[in-house]
Amino acid sequence: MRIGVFVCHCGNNIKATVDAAYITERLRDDSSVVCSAEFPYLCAEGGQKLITEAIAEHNLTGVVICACSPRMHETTFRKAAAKAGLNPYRLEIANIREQCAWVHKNKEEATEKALSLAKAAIAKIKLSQPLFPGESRVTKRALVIGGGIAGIQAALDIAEAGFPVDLVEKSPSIGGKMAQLDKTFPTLDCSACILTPKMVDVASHEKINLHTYSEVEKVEGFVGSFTVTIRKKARSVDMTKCTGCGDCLAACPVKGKENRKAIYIPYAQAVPNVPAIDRESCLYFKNGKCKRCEKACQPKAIDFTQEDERITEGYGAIIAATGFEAIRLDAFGEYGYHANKDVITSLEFERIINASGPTGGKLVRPSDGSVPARISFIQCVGSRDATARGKPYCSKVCCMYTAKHAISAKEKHPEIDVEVFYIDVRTPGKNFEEFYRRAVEVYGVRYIKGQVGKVIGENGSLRIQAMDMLENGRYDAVTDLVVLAAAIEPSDSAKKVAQMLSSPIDANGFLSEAHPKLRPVESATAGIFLCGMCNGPKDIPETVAQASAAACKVIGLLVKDQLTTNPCTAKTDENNCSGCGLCAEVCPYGAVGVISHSTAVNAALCQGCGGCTVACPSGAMNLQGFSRAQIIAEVDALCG
Amino acid sequence: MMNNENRCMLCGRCSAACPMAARMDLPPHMWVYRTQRGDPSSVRKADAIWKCLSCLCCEARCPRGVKPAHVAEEARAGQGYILEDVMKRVDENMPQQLPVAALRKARG
Ligand SMILES: Cc1cc2nc3c(=O)[nH]c(=O)nc-3n(C[C@H](O)[C@H](O)[C@H](O)COP(=O)(O)OP(=O)(O)OC[C@H]3O[C@@H](n4cnc5c(N)ncnc54)[C@H](O)[C@@H]3O)c2cc1C
Ligand code: SF4
Ligand code: SF4
Repeated sequence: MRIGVFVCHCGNNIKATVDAAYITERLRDDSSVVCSAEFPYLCAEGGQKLITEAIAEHNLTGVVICACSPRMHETTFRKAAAKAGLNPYRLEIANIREQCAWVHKNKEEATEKALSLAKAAIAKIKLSQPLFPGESRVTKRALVIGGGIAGIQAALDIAEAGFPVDLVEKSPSIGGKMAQLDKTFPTLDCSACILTPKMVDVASHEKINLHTYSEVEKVEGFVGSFTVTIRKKARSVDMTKCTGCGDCLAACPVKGKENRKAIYIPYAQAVPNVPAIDRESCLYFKNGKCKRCEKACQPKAIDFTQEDERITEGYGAIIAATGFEAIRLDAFGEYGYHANKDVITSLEFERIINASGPTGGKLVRPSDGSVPARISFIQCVGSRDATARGKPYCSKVCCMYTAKHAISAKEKHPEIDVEVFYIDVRTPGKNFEEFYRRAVEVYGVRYIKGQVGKVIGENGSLRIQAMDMLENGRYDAVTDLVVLAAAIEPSDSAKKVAQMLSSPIDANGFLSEAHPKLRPVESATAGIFLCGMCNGPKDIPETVAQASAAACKVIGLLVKDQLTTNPCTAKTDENNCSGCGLCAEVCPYGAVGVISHSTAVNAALCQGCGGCTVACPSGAMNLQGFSRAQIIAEVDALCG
Repeated sequence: MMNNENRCMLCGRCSAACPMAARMDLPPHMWVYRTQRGDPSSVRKADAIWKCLSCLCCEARCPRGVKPAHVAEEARAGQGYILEDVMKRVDENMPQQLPVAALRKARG
């Protein structure tokens, strides 16, 4: 074999800690190495030229690159090799940056380690085979999970590009949290007014197939060719017959939370405007008697016998947009949220000031319906909290929506005394700082740097015990309404969805992007994309931008007819296989099948994890590009 | 967890929760702040550390896992008001208030 070795300096990233000249020199000791060179930036045009020219000049049959992680530039270098006529799988990378330069301080030790890693790569390349990628067909249809503003925007963009989209929303209506908001910062435009047209567009778009009150149950397959089972929950209302008149709602005798009936439409502008029966509170489902809605419904749309329905569909790409929830406040007893009706969360405040909310937009106290004389907003409830009961991160939107709430309260009743307890006010964003300053300067909202330690109900009022950190003294007061900016967290189903999509989640349960800077809307799993709050705290403009970006990525994938598949998949050596099927049992992707006395791998399903090769007792299973012989050769080289 | 004062973000929740803070010359978050700034001696001089009840409410409320009451305890110990035999008997299971009350009495 004729091997060329190329050592990268990565500016000073590698060179400062690894003696590049020394390893370039030493690697020539191997008789198979016919050329070796160092270069400041191998990934740059000049570096790639060096490699392609060397392949031609020295007639190289294998290349070893000593540089950064293959996650960074494997594709770059393999493309360069292919350009020069070398099979790209005859190129190996020794990671001497992340695994040497960046983790060691001692130059001598780091250099020795880099040399060992390079030798291992040389040992591996000697046993390499040329590999050829296959092709797989792309199903030209996308799935979006979650119908908040993120999912709505993504679905619309994909549909506008001409591809069919299925939008799955678990609740009876799309809209998500934005549909519950009154106004939106920093412009104070009415949330419903800007959202409803989009919701209607989704419902009427010929390319969008809306599944509300539905959940994804199973995901199989791979990029370009997913097979997904969706469960459409029994709504107990026939969507084809319902006219959305609402007669059933008037007839239902049940009064639940927020005055919600057992048969309900989440809010006035719901899309679709078709009610659902909550079987847990419905009298007929509980006691077998009632059916008043059925009698009231003229078009005979009520159907108590409806059952869950399952549909299976193929997709080329999937977007997760499952959004967020506010944290539960059970562990924050000091704020008296459960003990006092007039201690509410910001989302509840949003409903109270919203014209389509339970009070018709009247700013009144939940306890007695009176207009509060004083409102105290408390920020960072559970955010920036590194203890077990809180969330270590900043929820990002609370500073801005609290300023919005304070302004809204003052707009409705200028005489209300409004105060905000904060730790820091964070307003990075276009027109954000100006908006917050308006709350202070124009509306006279009192901002107090400090936190509240206790809220106690007392004679129909609330006594708060707080700190004014700038006065360095206690700030104890009697107030009428306390609004808690509870931390946000990923929706409770995010984890389940992530598992089905094999999409990683971070320590806080948010779906992780493939790269925090350069691949912000892709999941590490090919064909899976993310947008909105499911990926981390963000406001509506950011959510929409991310949704359009994810849609753009999906469109880029769906326009292709074929995808090239990774040839590094498992392969059975039939002569050694006893057909025991252990490999099939361990394969997480269901890619291995047992056939008579042997096994076969479906290369399209195989993700190249290598689990089967470890499980196989006779060594018949091999991962191409990472064969057992290659791995043992690498280990020998490292230990030698 | 180590009582790392640098974790404090000066939210004031400890002082807002403390039942004695209104009567203290230096509220609990300031003990943490002064220690953070390398000035533990001023904490030792404060009368507040003798007002602390060791109820640990400040520590339960702190969102960053800082332990203001322990700063006070150290400050009290730091000026030699340790009754050797009392401290010898301090064990993990003993309520915090016990040795503190004993120390306070010993101080007169
Ligand atoms: C009190 C408050 C006020 C705010 N005010 C503003 C403001 O004024 N301006 C601003 O820019 N931002 C504001 N925000 C932030 C804004 O709400 C979010 O940025 C936005 O809602 C995020 O949209 P999303 O689609 O990612 O998530 P969501 O709105 O949470 O939507 C997610 C959707 O997915 C559905 N879903 C979840 N799991 C599944 C599943 N497994 N299968 C199917 N569907 C699922 C949910 O039912 C929901 O409909 C505010 C937030 C709060 C809490
Ligand atoms: S332990 Fe001391 S400082 Fe902390 S809350 Fe109790 S009395 Fe206040
Ligand atoms: S509660 Fe914790 S973080 Fe807040 S001021 Fe006190 S010690 Fe600092």
